Amino acid sequence: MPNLDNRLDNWFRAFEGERNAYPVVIVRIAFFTGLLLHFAPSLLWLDIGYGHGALRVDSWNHWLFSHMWKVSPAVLRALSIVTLLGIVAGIIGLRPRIAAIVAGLGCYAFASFNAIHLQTLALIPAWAMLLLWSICGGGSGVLSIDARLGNRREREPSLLGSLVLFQVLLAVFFSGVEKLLAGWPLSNEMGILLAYPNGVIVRDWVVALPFLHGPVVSNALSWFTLAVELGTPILLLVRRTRMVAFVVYELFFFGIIATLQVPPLFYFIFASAPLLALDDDQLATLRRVVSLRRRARG
Amino acid sequence: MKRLRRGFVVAWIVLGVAGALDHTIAERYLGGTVNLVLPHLQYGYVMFNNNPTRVPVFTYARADGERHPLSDLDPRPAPGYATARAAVDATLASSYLRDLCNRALRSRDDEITIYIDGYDVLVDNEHPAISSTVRCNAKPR
Repeated sequence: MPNLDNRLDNWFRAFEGERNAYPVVIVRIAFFTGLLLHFAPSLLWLDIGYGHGALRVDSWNHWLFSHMWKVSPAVLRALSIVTLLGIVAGIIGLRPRIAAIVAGLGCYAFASFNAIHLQTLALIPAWAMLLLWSICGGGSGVLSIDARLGNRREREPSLLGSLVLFQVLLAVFFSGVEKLLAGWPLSNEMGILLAYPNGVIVRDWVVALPFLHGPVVSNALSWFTLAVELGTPILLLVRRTRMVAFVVYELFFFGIIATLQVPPLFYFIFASAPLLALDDDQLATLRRVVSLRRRARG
Repeated sequence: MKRLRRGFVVAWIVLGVAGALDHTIAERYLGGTVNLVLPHLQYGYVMFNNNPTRVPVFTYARADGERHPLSDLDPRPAPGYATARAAVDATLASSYLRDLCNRALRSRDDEITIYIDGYDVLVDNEHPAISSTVRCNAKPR
C-alpha cells in the first residue's frame, strides 16, 4: 500500500525527522524562566502559602491538597529547593528531561497543595509542556550545559517541538472559540476590559489614554483579538502565510503583556512557541532581520 | 519505534482536542464535562471571554491614612503583574484579605485598613459605586 504509506508519512512528517535546534532551545529557556518567575516567590516565601494554618485553595489535585499538609516543614523546604533546582536545570539545559520531570512533579504538587499566588491560565499549557518534555526529552542541543559537555547538536528530533507548538496553538485557537461562544465580537468585551480603573488588571498607561476606551477602538480590538486567535494558529501552519501570521501573532501577545497585567509565564510560553513553526529558510530570514536591526541601532 | 511514536502523536492530539472540546462544546451543549484525568485537560482555555462589569479595587492604609496598592502587603513578588495577582488571590479565597492584613501587622499598635472600592465600569469608572473596608489590628479584645 505505497499510497497509504506515503500519505501517512506526509501527515506525520512534522513530527518525525530532525529540525534546527535553536527554536526548541529558545522555547526551553523562555518556558523554564517563566516557570521560575512564577513559582519561585511561592517556593522561597514558603511559610506564607504552605506553613501551618496557611490559607489554601484547592484548584488542581484534590488528593495532594488534602494530604500534603502532613509533610513536615523541613521536607517541604527540601521539596521546594529540589523543585527550584529542577527549573534552573531546565533553564541552563542540564538534562532537560530529568529537569522537566523534577520541576513538573514539584510545581504540580505545590500548585495542588495551594493555588493561591499560583493560579493562572498559563499553568494549563505549562503542565502539557512539562509532560511532553518528560516524555520526549531534548531541547539542549545548543545553548546548554549538555552542549558544553560535548552533546552539541545543531539539529534535534522534531517530535517535542511539534507537539509543543500544537499544544500552544490549540490553546490560542480554543481561546478564540470560547470568545465566539461567549458572544464576541459583538459584546464588546474589550470595551469593558479597557474601561477598568487603575488597580485591577489593565496597566496604568492604558487607563491614562482615554482614546483607547472609546467604542471604535475597543470594537476594533475585539475583532482583531478574535481574528488573531482563530486565524494565526491555522495560518502559522501554512508556509505561504507563516511569516505574516508570525509577526501578527507576536505583536498580539506583546500587546497583551504591554496593556494587561498577566504573569510573565503566560508571555514566555505563548510568545516563544511560534518559533517552532518556522523552517530553516524562515529562521534564516528572521536571523537576517534581527541582525540588520541590531546593526541599524549601532 | 516508528509506530509507537505515531501512536503517541495521535493520542496526544486526540486528547488535546477532546480536552478543548470538553470545556467548550460539551460543557455548553451537553451540560457537563468528562474528567480526562491529565492536568492540562482539567480546565478550558479562557482568556478574558466574559469580563465582569463590576470590579473591586483593593488598597490599604496604615495609621497615616496614605493609600497603597494591596499587593504591597504581600511579600511574595509577582513580577510585572503584582496588582492583578493580589486581585486574583482575593477572588480565589474570601478570607485572603483578612489573612494578608493579619500577616502584615508590624507591632501591637499597628492597624491596617483595607479598602475595597467597587466600580461599575459601565456607569462610572472614575468613582466607586460602593466601598467597604476590612480592618485588622493586634490589640487584644
